[in-house]
Amino acid sequence: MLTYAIRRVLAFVPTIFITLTLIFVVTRLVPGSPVWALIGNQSVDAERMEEITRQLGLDRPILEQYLEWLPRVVTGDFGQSIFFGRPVAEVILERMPVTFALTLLAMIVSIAVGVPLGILAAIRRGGLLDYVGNVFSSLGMALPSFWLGFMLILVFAVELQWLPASGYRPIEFGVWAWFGRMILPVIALSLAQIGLIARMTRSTMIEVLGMDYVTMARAKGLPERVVILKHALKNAMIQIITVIGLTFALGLGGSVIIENVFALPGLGQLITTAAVRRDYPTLEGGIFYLTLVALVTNLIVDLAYAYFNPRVRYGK
Amino acid sequence: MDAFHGVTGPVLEIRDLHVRFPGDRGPVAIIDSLDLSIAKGEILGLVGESGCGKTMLARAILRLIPPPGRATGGKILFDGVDLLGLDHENMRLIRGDKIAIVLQEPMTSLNPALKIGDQIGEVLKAHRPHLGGAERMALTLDLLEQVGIQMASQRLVQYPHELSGGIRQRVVIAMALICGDVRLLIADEPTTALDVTIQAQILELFTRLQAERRMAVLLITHDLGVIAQTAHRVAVMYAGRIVEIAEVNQLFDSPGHPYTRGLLQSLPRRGVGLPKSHLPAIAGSVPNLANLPGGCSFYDRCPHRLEDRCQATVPALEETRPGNWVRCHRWRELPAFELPADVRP
Amino acid sequence: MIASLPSLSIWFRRTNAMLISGSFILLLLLAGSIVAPLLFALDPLAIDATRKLEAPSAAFLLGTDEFGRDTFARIVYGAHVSLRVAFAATTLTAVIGIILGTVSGQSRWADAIIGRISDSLLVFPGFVLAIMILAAIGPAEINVVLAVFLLYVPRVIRTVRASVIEFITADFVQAARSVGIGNFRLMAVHVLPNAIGPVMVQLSFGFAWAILVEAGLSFLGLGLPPPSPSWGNMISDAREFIRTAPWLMFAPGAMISLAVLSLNLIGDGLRDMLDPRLQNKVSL
Repeated sequence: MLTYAIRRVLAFVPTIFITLTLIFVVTRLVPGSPVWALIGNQSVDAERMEEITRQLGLDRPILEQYLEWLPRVVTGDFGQSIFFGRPVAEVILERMPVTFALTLLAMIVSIAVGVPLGILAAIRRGGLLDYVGNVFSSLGMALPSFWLGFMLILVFAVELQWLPASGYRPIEFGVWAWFGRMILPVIALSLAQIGLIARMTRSTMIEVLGMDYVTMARAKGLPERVVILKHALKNAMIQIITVIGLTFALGLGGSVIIENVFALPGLGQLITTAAVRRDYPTLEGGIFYLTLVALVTNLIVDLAYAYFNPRVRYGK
Repeated sequence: MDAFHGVTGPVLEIRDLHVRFPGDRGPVAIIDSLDLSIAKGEILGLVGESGCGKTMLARAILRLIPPPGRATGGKILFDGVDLLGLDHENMRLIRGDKIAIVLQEPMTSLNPALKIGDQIGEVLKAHRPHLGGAERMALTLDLLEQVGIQMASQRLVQYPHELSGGIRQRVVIAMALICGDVRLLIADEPTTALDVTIQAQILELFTRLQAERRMAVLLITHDLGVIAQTAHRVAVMYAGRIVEIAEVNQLFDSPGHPYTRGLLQSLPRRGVGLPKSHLPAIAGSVPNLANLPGGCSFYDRCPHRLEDRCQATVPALEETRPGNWVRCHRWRELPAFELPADVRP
Repeated sequence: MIASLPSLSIWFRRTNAMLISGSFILLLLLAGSIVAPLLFALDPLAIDATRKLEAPSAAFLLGTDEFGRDTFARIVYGAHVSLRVAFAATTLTAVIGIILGTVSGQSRWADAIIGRISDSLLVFPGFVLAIMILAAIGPAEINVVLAVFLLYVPRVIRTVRASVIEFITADFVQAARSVGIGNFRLMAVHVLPNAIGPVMVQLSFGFAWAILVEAGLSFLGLGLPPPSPSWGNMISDAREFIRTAPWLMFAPGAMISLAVLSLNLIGDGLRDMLDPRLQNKVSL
């Protein structure tokens, strides 16, 4: 287990470099200079243009820029935000908790609903619950999350007035002030994930329930509860965990949109603002941190996978 | 081998059992009107090609037929109690305690995610809830030694993938017998997945445990060599029906049914070929159960068939001499069977 | 074996049900978007300042937006735009994915390069890469196509590569090679047809996903520039009027959902038809 963990963590390092490089390449090698973002629509003479370009180091060869940029960003320093006029890292750190809360809550809801739903559908295969679950998950994966978000606002905020429509309150304002504003975004974000996890759990459980060792567990006279929860689920979990990891990455992508729908000041909203305003330092930083979260989650999932799978846990 | 020493009444008696699966054009009979009984202390061999319904029979006895299949008729009397009439809880109490099973693949019948000790111990937990952890462990260790596993205490904390095939199958056998009260052991191809030397050891273990515990054993296999070594009586199954039942020597000396003869003829010759008998090569293949021919199901492959009689009606299982039952219209007319001397398993 | 006999037929029926209903919805959407402009005088861009934000009526089936534009007309033409973008992206993905996947499956060094690049593209949480690309190259239809392509092509490459590796060693392919059939012909005639099934399944899901991504990008203002009536743009425009004119929000979202649902059904149906064992396995 330990060797495996060390190997996985070491493999993490090149991935970080590749990610950073890709971010650099995509944002630099394309037409359109970020200088335009700084000056906006004001008419500026060529001299002033050049000056700003020089200030940003954009006049130097691309490789030189890269070699200067990489060591800097590895330490987390993405420079000054053009739009906010503050260090990028500072802006990002401020917004991290919002995105974390949103994606984590959505993840918890997705697992808490999706896994049991998938298990029940697999046990009562072909039954009413299986059918309803299938319709539910198909819809969940087809509805665009941002539209769903607006529909939720329309029903629960505008019509019923049960919950606030949008906005964010830090938890210091009180748990309910914080949580109440998270409910709708979390539902909007988690529906597709619930569908995905439920379907995957169902098919994995069906596969596992057909295995010899499950028949054997029944033939041993174990209570059905033990057969399902101990023998089947423990093996199914090995596969379900990988899906949960992938779903989390999807959730992070989805959070970008959901934060915009519900006006949550998270990383996603920051990235979109930066993208629209072509605030490259902020965009690079935001995307890197978001990707980093996804990568770390993947790492955790891999280690959890190893933990649940004794074949990996003990060497080969 | 001398059969029937000290045999009393039947432990298991199956009467007119039907197992069906829904099919495209109506239900498909996987097991059709099957009668069979196993006496205390008896090893009954059940032979047949794959797909003939032997495994389904094993599943039916434990009431573990995979849905949507189910037993649609008949009785399975275990010590006089009809298993098909029991409620779920009472059936569960019989499984693993009174009736146990050993499956073909020791690789897949052990749960890869659980430790060996846990997988054996949980049987006791389910059936002997009054036992404490230490007692369970002591019983498990004792049995593991009985089934010939060395360093048993180390094995308890190992996972299945850390063990060899032979040891795994010993673990499965221990798992089946841990309750100590097993009256009927169903062994579904227990040695097929093992290599030859291990195969012999496991068979020996089987016969020894069977004799010690006076269990009834239903030994399912397609390997007549295994049958010859271990079984007292043999039932031959074809397309969901029993086609012949005989005492083991009777069967090898003078098989009654053309299918049984075909199986014996296709045994590998001594000195040639493989010592392990492969699927018997009888011309043709197992019929599709979804559309069986109207008469004898072996008709298509039978060298002795008669167009009118054999196609018209399903032959009955008739007693041709004491202890030998044959399902063939022509059993009286068939020529005497001569098994080449070097074929004798 | 025997246990799967009856269930196979059940799956066959169910498969057809999913495939048929999915195709039916999709064809209905396509047919509607083609026929509607022929039957009605529809102009998705015509501005009528006197008829702003009208509720649905006989004149305007789905009401009007803040510029007095006919929502029904915009929905119909939105189908053209949204499906066109998704279709272009899917086609591009298919062509490039099959080529790169085939190359990747045959040559070790090409595999190393292509594999590395596609793996690193997959590292990014889905949508984020698309945002980055569009922020860099600017909102435009062709750029959306490009972004969707870049995000999805690694998956297609993987699938094709796996099929090529699986079949290239198959006896019938080796036999074809031994009688002197050229490499191109070998791939085109003997190997790739085997990959068609899995690739078709994946492209169905990819198509659905492309619709969602386009809508999401347009919603964020990074997709198709206004006044293009893409469904995503319509939702984006409607958000300001969610309290006063909620009907503006319903129709485009429902259309996206229907289109995505139909394509997911087609993908599910195709997959089950190809391999009933994989029923409801989600492809990611």
